Amino acid sequence: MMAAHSSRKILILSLCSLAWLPALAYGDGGTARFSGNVGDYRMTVFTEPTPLRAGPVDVSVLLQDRQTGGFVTDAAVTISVSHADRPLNVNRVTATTASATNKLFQAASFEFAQPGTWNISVEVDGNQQTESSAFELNVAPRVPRWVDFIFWIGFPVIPIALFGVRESVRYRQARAPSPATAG
Amino acid sequence: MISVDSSFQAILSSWSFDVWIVAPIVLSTLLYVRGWYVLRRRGSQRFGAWQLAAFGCGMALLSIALLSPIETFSALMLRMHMVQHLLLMFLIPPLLWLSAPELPLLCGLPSGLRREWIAPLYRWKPIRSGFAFLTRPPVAWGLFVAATWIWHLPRFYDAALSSGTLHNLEHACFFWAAMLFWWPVVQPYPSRLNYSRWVLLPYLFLAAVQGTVLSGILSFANDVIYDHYELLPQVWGITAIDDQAIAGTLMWLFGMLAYVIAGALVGYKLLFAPRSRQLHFAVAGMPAVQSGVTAYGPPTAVRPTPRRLNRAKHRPPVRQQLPILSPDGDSCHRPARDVLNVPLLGRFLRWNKSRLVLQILMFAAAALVIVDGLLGAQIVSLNLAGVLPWIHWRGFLVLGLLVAGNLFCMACPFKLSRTLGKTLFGGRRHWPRWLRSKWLAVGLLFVFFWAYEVFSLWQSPWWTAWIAVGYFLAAFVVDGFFRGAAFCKYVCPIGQFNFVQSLVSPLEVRVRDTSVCEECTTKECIRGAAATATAAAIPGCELHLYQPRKSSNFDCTFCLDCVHSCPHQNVGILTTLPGRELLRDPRRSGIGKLGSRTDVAALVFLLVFAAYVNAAGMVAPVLDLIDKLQAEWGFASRIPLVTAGYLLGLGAVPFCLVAIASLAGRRLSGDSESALRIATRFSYMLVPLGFSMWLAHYSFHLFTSSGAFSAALRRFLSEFGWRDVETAAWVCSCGLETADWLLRMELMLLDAGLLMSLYVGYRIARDRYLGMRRAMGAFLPWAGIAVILFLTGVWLVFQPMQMRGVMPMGM
Ligand code: SF4
Ligand code: SF4
Repeated sequence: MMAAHSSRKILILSLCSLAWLPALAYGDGGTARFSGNVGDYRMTVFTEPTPLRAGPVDVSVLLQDRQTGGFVTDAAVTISVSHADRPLNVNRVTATTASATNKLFQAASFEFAQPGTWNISVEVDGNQQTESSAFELNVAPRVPRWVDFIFWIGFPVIPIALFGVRESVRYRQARAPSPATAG
Repeated sequence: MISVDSSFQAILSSWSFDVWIVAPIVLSTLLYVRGWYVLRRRGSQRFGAWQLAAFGCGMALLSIALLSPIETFSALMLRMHMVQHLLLMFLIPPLLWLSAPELPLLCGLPSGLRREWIAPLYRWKPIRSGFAFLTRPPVAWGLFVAATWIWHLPRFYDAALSSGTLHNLEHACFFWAAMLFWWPVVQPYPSRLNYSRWVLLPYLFLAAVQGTVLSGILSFANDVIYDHYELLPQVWGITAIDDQAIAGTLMWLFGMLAYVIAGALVGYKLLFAPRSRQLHFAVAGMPAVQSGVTAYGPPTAVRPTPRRLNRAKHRPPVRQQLPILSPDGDSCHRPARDVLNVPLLGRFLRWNKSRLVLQILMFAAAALVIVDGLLGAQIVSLNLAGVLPWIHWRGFLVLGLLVAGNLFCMACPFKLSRTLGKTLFGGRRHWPRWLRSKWLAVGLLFVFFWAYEVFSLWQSPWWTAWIAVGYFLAAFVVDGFFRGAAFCKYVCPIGQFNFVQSLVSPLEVRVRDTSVCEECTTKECIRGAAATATAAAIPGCELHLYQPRKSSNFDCTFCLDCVHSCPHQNVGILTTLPGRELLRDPRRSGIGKLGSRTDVAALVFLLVFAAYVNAAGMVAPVLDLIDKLQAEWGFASRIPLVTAGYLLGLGAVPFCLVAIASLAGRRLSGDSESALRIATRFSYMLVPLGFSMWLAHYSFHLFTSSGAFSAALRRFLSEFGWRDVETAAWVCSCGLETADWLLRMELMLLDAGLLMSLYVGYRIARDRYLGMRRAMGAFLPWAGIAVILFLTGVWLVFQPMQMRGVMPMGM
């Protein structure tokens, strides 16, 4: 049976290691942006985050066989993105299952540097032929980076507030007459 | 296309690891298991395997509901989403209540946290009456139904599906509303409902009726209710409308089953369970809770008649507490642990050559730095003198201080040249009286920080090598001429850095049992042990720290001479609460009272503010500003500007802030002590904050550039004829955006530093002044400095930082 002190150590270690876990977050769906037939496939494209803002963006693709509805994960999926103002500046990334939490998806991460309209093109290289589809996305301006970390910056407020409550409770409890002396 | 098997495999492997879900699950499980074990050890029969299993199953199902493919696929299929909600609302909450989690979770907490934090809040009336209100059957029922219906409105449901935060909020609402709903039904030990249990029958029946209506709407709707699913492709050929109907049916079946089983059990208990079991308050000293209002008392054998019960109901809650929340009833306090008892490590440290081994290893590293710095290629990112001291050593130094204390001092290579100096010249002179303070070290540290920035020391392997050589020479000369460890105590800037930061370390060299020292007449720990037939002489503490009166790590080099010399084996490396030594100001052996050492306070201020100035000297906006001012004002070099910056950052600004805080605190608290004296005592509250900035800064370089060592070593080996350097693509990573996890870590360190500093400051003020008003008056100006420093630190970690080396391409 676990000794009490070793469970405390495990607890501390677990807490420390948990701090690193957010780094493991993968692209995982989000909002469906496109769904349609592309050659022999039914393709659905999701983006994350919602609402879509300039900054890091995950694009995930779900491929299904158009006839049977079965899932397809062995086709090579390449996603290209470019800003509408600079169409020649294309960022092409091969989507992978490893980058997605949902292993039926193939996902890739991009940095959408600017707000505005972005062109997305998805190319599927199956056994027989290559198909592609394109659509546009409206990307809102980026929020300052610190906004994403506001919880970590503002975190001390929580323990400070709790400490304030605790101190005032202790103060009141110390001043209140005990049942024995209250008569 | 892939086969059904492989798509099934893909689904099974689709687990997510959201820290906000994993952390509470892991934490509560550990707390419960620990508390359950403690209660069992104390002989409580209330907590058997059944309770443990119920909690374990509840947590396992919670993980399955929130982390498994059910969560991953809930955005694709409404039926999956429904299964998830049903688990959260109908299965997990009753299981958790059946495990009677209150006492085990309280028992599982560290005793200090339980006594100091939980107990006052637990006894706080608004919390108790708030919980009592929420668990009243009509309120709990209303909240459960409201949560169910509101989150099933298309607008909210669709919103939750497209936002991770809202999705988590939805689940939290379902889960906590269900926890409240099932509380009166299960009545987890040691609680007790103030209502007749008969009320539970209409309670469950009406819940079943509303559940049937909602599932009917989902099952028989002609249109797809949630737009989100309409946009998605069909999965396994099931259309969105069929998916919705299946989800509705699942909801009806599952819900009905839960309500019927619960109703049957409640009915059975009402009709057949012995009345005494329903009414007895407490068993074996364990308390009962009345509708959330704790009413603890000794076990009662009084048979409660309806009249007694009615009277008890209208009596105000008894002002007592759970035994485990009272200091007397808490038997969890444990003595400090000793690193010297850790199996292999303890044995190594007790070996009297252990320190020499560590010093030789560090000496070898220093030799590499000197050789490569003086003779190797002067490419900072590929030279051992460019990367070893400025990335690795500094990073490990602060991490070592964080986890263990003055580890570097223990392995200090300069000790070898100190010993050589003593052997050659005897080291018999006394250190001059006028230099017996930290002022010399303050001056040297200031010069070092200034020179570091002005001459960009980290960019010059050659200069770095000469600094190391200079260090060896200084240690050799000082200790060659002077007694004791004059170099460590009065000169060494690294030592002073370690002494101050190690005030918040969790390990300390100190006596195990003070009563042994009281009986001891020989005092070898400070006088030293004479040579015997079997053992060589062991010196006493060179730093003049007398163990029984030693307090904190200050001035201790972890040399362990006292450990080896004490004939009673009464000195160990014991665990301590980090920062505890900052709260108290006892008279310390060899140091005196820290609160009256202005020189030590100056050292503290210097090191705290240097943490920020040193980091600021590397961030893009500050470097740009220097360049701009240099161009505008026509300076040929940046030396005047950097010097002015240092005088400002380490002189004028700290002086003004400290003077303002000290004078304001003096006025607000009505203290008659001099402002200097007040500043000296409060200086120690800033130690944790300063350390957190050093830690954030140096560990940032360590984590981002740790690979630089391998590159530099390969270049070194190749240049000195051992091996060809593999051709690798290396890029300078200057100005890169910090990875999110690293930024989070830096912010967490700063958060911890701020909280610890504020706590220390508050405790100093409370100890020093009578009355809350005076204490807060003294404390608030210092809290203001802490907040300013914290915000400066936050700003700094968000800036692009100049890097200390190189990283492999693609990292
Ligand atoms: S630490 Fe050892 S040598 Fe020193 S006073 Fe105590 S018992 Fe004596
Ligand atoms: S002998 Fe002195 S410096 Fe060495 S470990 Fe003991 S107390 Fe610290």
